[in-house]
Amino acid sequence: MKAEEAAKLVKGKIVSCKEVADKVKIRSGFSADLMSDVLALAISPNKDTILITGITNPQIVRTAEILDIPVIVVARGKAVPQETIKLAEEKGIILIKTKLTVFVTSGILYSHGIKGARILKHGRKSAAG
Amino acid sequence: MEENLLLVEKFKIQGRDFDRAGEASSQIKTILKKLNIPPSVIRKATIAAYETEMNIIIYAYHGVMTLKVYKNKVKVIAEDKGPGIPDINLAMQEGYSTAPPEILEMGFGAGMGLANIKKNSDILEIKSNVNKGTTVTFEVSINEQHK
Repeated sequence: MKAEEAAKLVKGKIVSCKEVADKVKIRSGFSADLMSDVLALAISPNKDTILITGITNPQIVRTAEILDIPVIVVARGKAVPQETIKLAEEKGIILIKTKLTVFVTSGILYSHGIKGARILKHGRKSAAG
Repeated sequence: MEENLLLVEKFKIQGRDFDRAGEASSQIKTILKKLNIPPSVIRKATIAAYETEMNIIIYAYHGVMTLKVYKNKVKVIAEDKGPGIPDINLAMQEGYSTAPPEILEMGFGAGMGLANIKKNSDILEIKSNVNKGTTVTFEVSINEQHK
């Protein structure tokens, strides 16, 4: 699904990188407010994961950048600060804001074929790696 | 192993500078990509670097992160001046946190940081002096199967 289509489905408004929203494809999703959980678990190896969150500060963009997540939905109708939008523009990440909750946003996308993001399984670590 | 050292880069981190929080880790990711480090290694090293950087910004006054890239590993040394960690074992526990509420509102400070650094590194060493500062050193190996 294109990011543009995801935005329409969740009745959202694209607030950054709108010009690429008809090109970027998403296939999986991850919902969380705790960025450490996103960092610990979510994998976006094909750069096609959407992050759904109720957090609005620039750290959501940093987290997405580090994990190669190209699209973020900010749920619950929260105002997205200008510095978050600015950073998203800079880093090429599409931000969508919606009045829907994280639950409903996730449910809509899931019912339209977006699967849960691959989850990292951390194995036992040895000193030799 | 110093002869296998490919690159050294230092990043200054200012405590409470939330506007730039994550910028050093972003730069680390860019550097590792340019050096053609395997993606799984880049992922682990940048996640660990980002959590380390956030820890300095949340808790310390200031610090320096040093990135050292070797042929067979990525190493990050983060030294900060700050309150230190009185009980490292306790701080390592998932869910243990001393972060104030405003940090939680940013999606951090839930006591996952050090555990995340450990999960994403092959070697982790934490040295801390209360009221002086903390040094976190971690390494991510570049194994043959990555190449």
